[in-house]
Amino acid sequence: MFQYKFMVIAFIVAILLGISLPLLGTTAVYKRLSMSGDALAHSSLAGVAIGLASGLNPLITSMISCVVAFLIIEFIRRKFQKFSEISVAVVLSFALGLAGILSNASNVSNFDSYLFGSILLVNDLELYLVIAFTIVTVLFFFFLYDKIFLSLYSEDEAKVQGLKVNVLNFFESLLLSLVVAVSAKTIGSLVVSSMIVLPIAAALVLKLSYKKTLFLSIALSLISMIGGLVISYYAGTRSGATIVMVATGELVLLLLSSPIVSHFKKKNSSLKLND
Amino acid sequence: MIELKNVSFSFEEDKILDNISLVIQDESYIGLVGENGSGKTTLIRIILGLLKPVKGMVTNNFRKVSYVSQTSDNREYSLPCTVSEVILSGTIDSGFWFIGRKEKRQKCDELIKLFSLEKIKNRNFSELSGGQRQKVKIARALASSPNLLVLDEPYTGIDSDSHEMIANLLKTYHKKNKMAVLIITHDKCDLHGLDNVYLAKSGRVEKIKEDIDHVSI
Repeated sequence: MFQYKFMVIAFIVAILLGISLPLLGTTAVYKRLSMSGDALAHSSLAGVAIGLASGLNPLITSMISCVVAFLIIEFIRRKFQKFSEISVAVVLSFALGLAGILSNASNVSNFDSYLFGSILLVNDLELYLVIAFTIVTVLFFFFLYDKIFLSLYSEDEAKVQGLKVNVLNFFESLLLSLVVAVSAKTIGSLVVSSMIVLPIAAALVLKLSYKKTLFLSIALSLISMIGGLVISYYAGTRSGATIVMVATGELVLLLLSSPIVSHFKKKNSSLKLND
Repeated sequence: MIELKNVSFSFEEDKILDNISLVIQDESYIGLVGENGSGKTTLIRIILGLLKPVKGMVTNNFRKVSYVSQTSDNREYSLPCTVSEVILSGTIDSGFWFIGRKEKRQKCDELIKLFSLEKIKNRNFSELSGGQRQKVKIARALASSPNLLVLDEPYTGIDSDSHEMIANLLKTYHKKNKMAVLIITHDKCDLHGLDNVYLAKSGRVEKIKEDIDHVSI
């Protein structure tokens, strides 16, 4: 499998996105904006359609449209503070409509490759962008680990403690938009939104600490990415779709095993109390 | 010291605070009482800098301020985190998290012991009872050794033993660490022996001079 250069590049991209997507996904999920990945992914499609129709580089127009979409989400979120999911629904609907109209004017086969991704056809620019965005995301989360936690725990208490919550939120969303735009071309816009939510949802089942949930969601994401690629190579299935199926399988497995895990957790804690 | 000068706040057509002047001195222990909808929480949010007044001026000279919000304000129910992680988050400052980590953990352990939270320190915060959660939130607020601690109805859901324990701890902390305290409460018992008590009513705030027991809240 690794004798092909495109497979090696596909694995590098899968591993890098397997780290950056759940990192950015946790903040979106905990802010009750888990569908924002979906809205951004659809916005990236609209951007691709604009690029293909106008003759510009679709990756660049896709990144611009994702950033514009996130700015609109943030603007609407502030108008409907108690119903933050409304902002996501509005942008998602608009992006889907725009992508649908503009896709008629674009090269359909090219458009399909953005819909389902083409991780085996990643070019140099896409690879460099994935590497750069992953490094920035990892450094962002490493250095601001505690501040991100505090802003998720309580925005008010974080602000009183002197944290610039709005600035932090802005950079989190900006990074998410850029990573989604690049991921849309590699693993597909329909797959990227799933990979933002599924590993975190699976990790949440075990009710662990914040740190353990973060690391577990990265581990599960990496298993889905690598496992999905290997299975798709041998089974001849679409790589993006297989990755999502593996991630869904992990969630189902953890949901089914959670009663057993919580039984052992309770037994363990009662033993500790007796000691 | 925090000083509010002729502060007014309105939301659309509704005037919520009308020309309020108030001073919270260093090392003072202040109570704020009032009916629901009297503007207490709006006033607190202005004092904390979370809201900007429509008119008037707020001057804050406290270096470190901590805030214990009402439980319903937080996303704490959905966030997966342990009691230790929540208390440790109180020590977060402008520096990187790995600088002075040992001292921060030590401070966190002291508070866990002080609030008798040893048995639940590794439990998920969202799985705790309302009273246990309040204790954790107050311990978290004290972790930064604040100059001013603002508590918005901190005793909600707390049993009488824990209520007394926390009230005594706050008084000890207030004296030992020379920390000013501003507490919003509905319980008159919490107002005895305070330096000043303010009553919020119809957008105005007045200092209560007579015996607390004769004031209707």
